[in-house]
Amino acid sequence: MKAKKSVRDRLRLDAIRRRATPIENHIIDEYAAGKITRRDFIRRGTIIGMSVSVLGFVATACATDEGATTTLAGGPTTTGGSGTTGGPTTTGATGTSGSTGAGAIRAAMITPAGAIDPVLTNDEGRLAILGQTGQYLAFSDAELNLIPVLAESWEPNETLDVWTFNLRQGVTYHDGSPMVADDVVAVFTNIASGNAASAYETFGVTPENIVAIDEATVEFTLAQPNGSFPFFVSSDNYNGIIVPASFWDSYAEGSYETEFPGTGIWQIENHEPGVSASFVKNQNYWGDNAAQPEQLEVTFFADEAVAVTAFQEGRVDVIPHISSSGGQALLESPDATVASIPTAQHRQVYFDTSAPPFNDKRVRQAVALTLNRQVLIDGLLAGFGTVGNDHPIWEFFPMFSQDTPAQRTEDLAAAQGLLDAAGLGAFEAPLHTLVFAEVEDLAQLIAASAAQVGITLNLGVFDSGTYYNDYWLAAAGSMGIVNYGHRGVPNVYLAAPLLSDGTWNASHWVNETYDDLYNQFASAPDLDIQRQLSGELQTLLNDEVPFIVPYFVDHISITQPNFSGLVVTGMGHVDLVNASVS
Amino acid sequence: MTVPIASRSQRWRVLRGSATFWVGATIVVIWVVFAIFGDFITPFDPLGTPADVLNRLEQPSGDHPLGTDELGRDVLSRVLAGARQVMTVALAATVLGTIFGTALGLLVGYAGGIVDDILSRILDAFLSIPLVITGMLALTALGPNTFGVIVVIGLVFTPIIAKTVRAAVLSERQLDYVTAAQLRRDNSLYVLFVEILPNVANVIIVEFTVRLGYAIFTVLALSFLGFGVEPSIPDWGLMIAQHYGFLTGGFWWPVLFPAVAIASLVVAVNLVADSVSQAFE
Repeated sequence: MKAKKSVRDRLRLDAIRRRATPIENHIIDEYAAGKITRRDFIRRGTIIGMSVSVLGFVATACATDEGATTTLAGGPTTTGGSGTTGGPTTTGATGTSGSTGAGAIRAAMITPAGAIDPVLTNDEGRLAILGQTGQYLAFSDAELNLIPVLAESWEPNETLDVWTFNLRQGVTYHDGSPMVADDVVAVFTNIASGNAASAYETFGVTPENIVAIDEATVEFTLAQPNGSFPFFVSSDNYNGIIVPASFWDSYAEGSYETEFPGTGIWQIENHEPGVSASFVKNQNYWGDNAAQPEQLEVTFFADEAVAVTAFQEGRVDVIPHISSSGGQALLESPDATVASIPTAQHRQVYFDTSAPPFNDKRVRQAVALTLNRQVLIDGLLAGFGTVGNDHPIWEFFPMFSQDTPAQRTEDLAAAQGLLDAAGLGAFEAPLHTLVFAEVEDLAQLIAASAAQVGITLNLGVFDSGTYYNDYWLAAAGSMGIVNYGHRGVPNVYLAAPLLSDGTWNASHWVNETYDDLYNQFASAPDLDIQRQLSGELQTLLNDEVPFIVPYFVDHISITQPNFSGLVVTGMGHVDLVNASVS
Repeated sequence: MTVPIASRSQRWRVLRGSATFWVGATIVVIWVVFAIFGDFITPFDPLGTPADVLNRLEQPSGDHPLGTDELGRDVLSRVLAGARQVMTVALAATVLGTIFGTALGLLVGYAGGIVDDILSRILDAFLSIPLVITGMLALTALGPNTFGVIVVIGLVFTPIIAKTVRAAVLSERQLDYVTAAQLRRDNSLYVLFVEILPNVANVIIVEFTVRLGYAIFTVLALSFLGFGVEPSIPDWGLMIAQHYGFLTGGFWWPVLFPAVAIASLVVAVNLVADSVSQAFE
């Protein structure tokens, strides 16, 4: 039954559509025609800067039977369940209204891999701490929504290559100074050469083309159109926390740790690098943080087993992220509350396509056919994952094409047939990876699987520094496994490791058809077109197999039974604004 | 110059009468049998199959008397198969160290004078660095692999054995038979390896047995720290490293049984070494 629309609603809808840009109207048309679901409509709307109130009204006013009721089957679920109403004060958190805000929260977090630094951060340990004291223009939440934070709104031009962000007014840093547009420009000028370089490449951003229009407006001009650009300035690009422009005057590696400047809900109280950090509530926070606890005590754990012991002994209230193998002792425990969210985080099992034996796609397909992916998920991830099909477009992304090629499954006879066709008998090749979560075990199972068709993979497992410096992009004729963290859109996955000139192209794969398809995908404003292009990308990648994507990994959090209010993202951001211990 | 027959039989008599020698030797022989014939003895494939992972961390049972590990592989099979890795590497490293250490000790002790002073100080400098640290540094530079572990441990043991052999040579070179050889103008290498070496063989044998125990422990320590073999190979040190994180969850068996295997082999080798020392001294 179609939703009844009053005259007042129709008039308001007409008014909205008159003010809307062509792109906004196009998305509304798609939703009204039932081409996209309500959830996808809201996601797409937030990305192009439509306000939550407008989205909510249009979602109801234009609802079709399907559109109004369809949700993503098996889609993301969160511990807090934010929806799209999470305003700037909670960055997506909900749920624990009534908390007094008293007391301290004790969290066990992953040890930062180095100095906490906006430019250099490239690991979950550091980004989780950056996100306590700092904030982003927008927050990419666990349900793939983009929530305005330090930017109140944004809008693109008609060709999607100029994006304008309107900054929230009245926001101050911990030292009381106001946040202004120059700060934003300074951030995105100074982090360009650091870990975020691939994001700049993916979204076609150059620092010279970021300008402050006035104190409250920043404009980004892109090298090419991009319909997902706001993710560049969101928490997805975790290096982009907003700090005062003056911070960069005396910037040096690690200088952020002197004061931990930012606009976030926590102010640093004490920091012992690699050991612990304590924070106090930001009493002058620009938003509503009445329910926030007074203190946050973070203990860093390099070893998950130690974090588990601390949890079992009651020395920590929450472990925001733990692997299924490291947290095994707690997954079935009645004394722990386990929550998980599906994420786009995945492992890429890449082949060096530039040299024998993996320059023949039949060999790559053969290796992919030796894997029983569900066994990998059940065995290695205790079931906390979803099956991959050798492309990085996660099934919960709105642009995922259902017309994807059939799921690749274990087929040893077919694998052997491909190897025979390629003229290869038994052969050996190196498989390099790093010590990370279950990856070492995955490497062993891939080797055991490949051995079934006569392929001997000689494993080399290294610390992350050695792996990334000596093996990741270098070794010829080899395979490797690398981790890709969660993102709200697949652009980084599709660009850096796959474009012919991609900076993270470990498989050395060069394919002009792919490059062309990706460029069309990145600049498409229309979800329908993106889906169609996704289908072509998925098919191409599944056939060419520059890398295997065996599975996508869920994000697991563990809390004490008396703890509530934890909000996490697949990327590893931790929001404790509404956390409480009863 | 040869070792007196009476002395050799006397030593063997001492060894035969030593209960600790027989206990140690029996255990060592058992592990040697597992090392050689492990492939035919293990109830399951130590490398497992991909589908085994669905049976991960099963506690000891009739099917798997020592339980399964994190990839569902049979712990008993991996413990038995693991003997080959540690014994091969430790034995090869000890032989290498003994050959180099003996040669160096003979040269330094026989040359004496400034050569002895300089080389002895260099050896002292090497000995001042903890064994495992030296091994880790060398393996970081060379890259961790089985051959590298053998070479590194062999080279690390070289100065230790050289110091002991040098001390024995210093005593021997004062004796008349060496002076007589020198008066005959025998070649120095001939004096070293034909005249002196047989007379310090006792010291070398004792040192070899003692070093073997240390080598086993060093090999396992390095593999525990991730500087040994690739992760799928059954290796006692690596098995402990891969599973100690599961102890907090009550999964003790993948850690306890390799640890027991290590303890039994190291203690057995040391029992043999003690008995040999007593017999030769």
